[in-house]
Amino acid sequence: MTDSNLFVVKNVSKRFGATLANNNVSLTIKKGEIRGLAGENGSGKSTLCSIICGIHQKDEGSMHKWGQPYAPTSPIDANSKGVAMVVQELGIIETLSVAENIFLGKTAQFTKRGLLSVEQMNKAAAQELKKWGLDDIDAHTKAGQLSIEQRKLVELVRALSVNPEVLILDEISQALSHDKRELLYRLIDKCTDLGMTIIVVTHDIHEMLELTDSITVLRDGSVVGTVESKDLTESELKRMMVGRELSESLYRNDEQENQGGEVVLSVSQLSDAKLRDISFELRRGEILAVCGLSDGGTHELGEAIFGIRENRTGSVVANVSGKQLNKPIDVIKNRGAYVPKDRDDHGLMLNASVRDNLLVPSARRLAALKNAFGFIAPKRVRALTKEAVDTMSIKTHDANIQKVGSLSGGNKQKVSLAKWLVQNLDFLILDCPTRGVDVGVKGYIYEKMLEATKEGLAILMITEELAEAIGMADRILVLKDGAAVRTFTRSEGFTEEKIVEVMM
Amino acid sequence: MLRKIDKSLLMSVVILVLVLVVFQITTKGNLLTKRNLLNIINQSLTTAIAGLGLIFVAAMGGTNITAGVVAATAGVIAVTVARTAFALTFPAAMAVGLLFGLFLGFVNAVFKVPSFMASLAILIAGRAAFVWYVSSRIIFAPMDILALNKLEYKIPILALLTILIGYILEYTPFGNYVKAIGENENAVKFMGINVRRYKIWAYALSGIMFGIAGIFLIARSGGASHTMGTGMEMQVMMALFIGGVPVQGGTGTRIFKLLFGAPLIVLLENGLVLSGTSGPMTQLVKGLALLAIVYLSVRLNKVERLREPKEQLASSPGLS
Repeated sequence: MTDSNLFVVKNVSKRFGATLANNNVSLTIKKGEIRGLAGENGSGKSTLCSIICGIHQKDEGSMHKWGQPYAPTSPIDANSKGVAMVVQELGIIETLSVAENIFLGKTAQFTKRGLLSVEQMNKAAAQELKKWGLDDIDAHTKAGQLSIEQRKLVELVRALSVNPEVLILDEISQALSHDKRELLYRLIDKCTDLGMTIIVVTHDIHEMLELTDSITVLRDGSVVGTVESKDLTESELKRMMVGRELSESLYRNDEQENQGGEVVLSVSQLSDAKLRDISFELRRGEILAVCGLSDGGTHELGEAIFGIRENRTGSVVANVSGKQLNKPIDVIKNRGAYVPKDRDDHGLMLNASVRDNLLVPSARRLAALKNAFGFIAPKRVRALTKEAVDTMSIKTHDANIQKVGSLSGGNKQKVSLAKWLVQNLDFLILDCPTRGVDVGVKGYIYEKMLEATKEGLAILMITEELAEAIGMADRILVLKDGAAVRTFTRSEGFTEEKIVEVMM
Repeated sequence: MLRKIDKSLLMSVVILVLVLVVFQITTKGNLLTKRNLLNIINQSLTTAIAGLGLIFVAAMGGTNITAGVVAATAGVIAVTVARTAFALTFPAAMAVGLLFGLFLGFVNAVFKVPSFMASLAILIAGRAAFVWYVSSRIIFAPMDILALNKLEYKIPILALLTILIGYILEYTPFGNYVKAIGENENAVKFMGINVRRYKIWAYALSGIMFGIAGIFLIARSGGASHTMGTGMEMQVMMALFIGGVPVQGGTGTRIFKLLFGAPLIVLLENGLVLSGTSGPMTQLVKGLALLAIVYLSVRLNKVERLREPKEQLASSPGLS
């Protein structure tokens, strides 16, 4: 193979302050190949991607694309050199239309004498969307009105609109549910048919093996090795990523459901714009998983129970106190809590310390008088912080000072869960508790969930990963079009086929 | 390793030392005399008291630019009340401030009018009403009020208020909630905390403190004309930001930063005047100083961000 068919990264290093994010990284990708980048949170995958697509500049090393030196100075520069990327976090501007988002920074082509032809741009956007089989998205609508999934797909179309030769997808599927992932895979197939070279980053090991031709594994900023995907099993890949043997299964290994104790939460005939007449009971010590397609209403169910959706009908009762739960504050007062799916925007204060993130939800409980002006003894805050950091083994150099935003994804999620787990609640609603978290931490979170249920916590786990529901739940509630269609119990044996069948 | 709090404090210390050294030279040693220092403390007291109220609003990332008009209104009403019942001076001023604060809080939290615009509206309308009421009169303060203009009274009162506000800000759920709102309002909502209620309380507290500041304002000047308190709101905001309170609010909001910023802003003005700078020039320098400081504080935050490890940074959305 000659150089003109290769994308080469050679001895690239990148340092952020004291951290060496990429250490002498080298890789060679063939034209038309789908290459996966695997590694735990903080292993340097995202840094490498952002160097390739021009967001960051490398400190050392060189890159060559099809035999030519390649050194992008910005994402726009990278675009013009045929490299585009879809970033991990949402990079869409909600107040702009879909068309404006697609052609952001590239509107010159529709501009005549300083005036932008919106009509031309919308037309071009509609064409792009159609080309990739996404005609259900209207180019005129404001991006803010789209679902999270649709926004992610718009970002993908934006990247594709520059006709890239190399396309980088960083954790794109984590925002997508089962059926939309299928759509994404078809899109990726189409891209490779067109001769594109694709670099994929994903935490979903199964997906990684299915999708890629070969995988480069990174650990602590360095390349561990590159292997052919077809020669690899899931456990081998995990071992390469973590650098040690992981216990066989991430999940629990019993086949019998926990029947649960007393009922702690009763939901009956819950309806709103997206939900239809949902009723169920949640018992002490059980994990009830909620699954469904992307428009099935699973996330809406969590939000509705927590009381942040408007015009809800039906009832949600905390059985221990017998109180009706209408607003978030009712849930908190009656020993419940909710962990939102969007960790960074809804779950955490990224710029505040680990300590402050743990303190705020417990503030009233820690105060001497149980009101807003009661004294919170620093001793109690220290004890709370220590307990949370120890029990969830949050990796932080100083919980009092380190900002949550500077923690890795897995540790952020640990903080997000720890702030409620330390409170010994009756019930906890978790929306995608392991989203964007690497396998090591994933297993750890499952372990902690099981520990908490043994102490009597009831968990309602909303999930987009069937494997997670099958692996962890006592019961699985399947939603379809906002209605509960079926509940499976663990002892009858969960299988993916059975569940998918009722979902569709 | 320098961390955020240390850094913003360091910034303030550097500025203070710089200002002291430069002015000590340009005023030929007249800056650091006992008389002038007492004068500086005296002048910064009202700003500090008003700042103690504004700090809750600043912690939420909001603004309340009604300090001047609230202090003036409260001051005038307080002296009117003081003529008949001196004991009611403070309650009256606090009640006036409370009403202003509640109104602003309500408009901001319930009707979602941005705090800057809502307080600007109150400032304009309130000032108009005040000018109309006072017109060309001078409303003199009675002797009881004038007697308050002594450092022996003012310093203990400031100390007491500082301890109280410091306690609320650092050691109570309320204080932690307002700082959390400044960090991420959405996250606070998802913790089941009644954001609306605490926002209104924060504005109410700021109003109460503005009211108290009004008493000392009128005590120092001896009476009120229709221009009383103009420009005070900017002085108070500058005191907070120059002391290192983050412009966007959040957990970096600390009480000692205000106690640092209030004399610093007065010192800046005082030093310029003593150096023989003209009035307009003093304002010009003040404005430029504020710009420089806010830039520095934003800049410091940015440096902090660049130090964050890879995952966080790499995911910053770029245009692709």
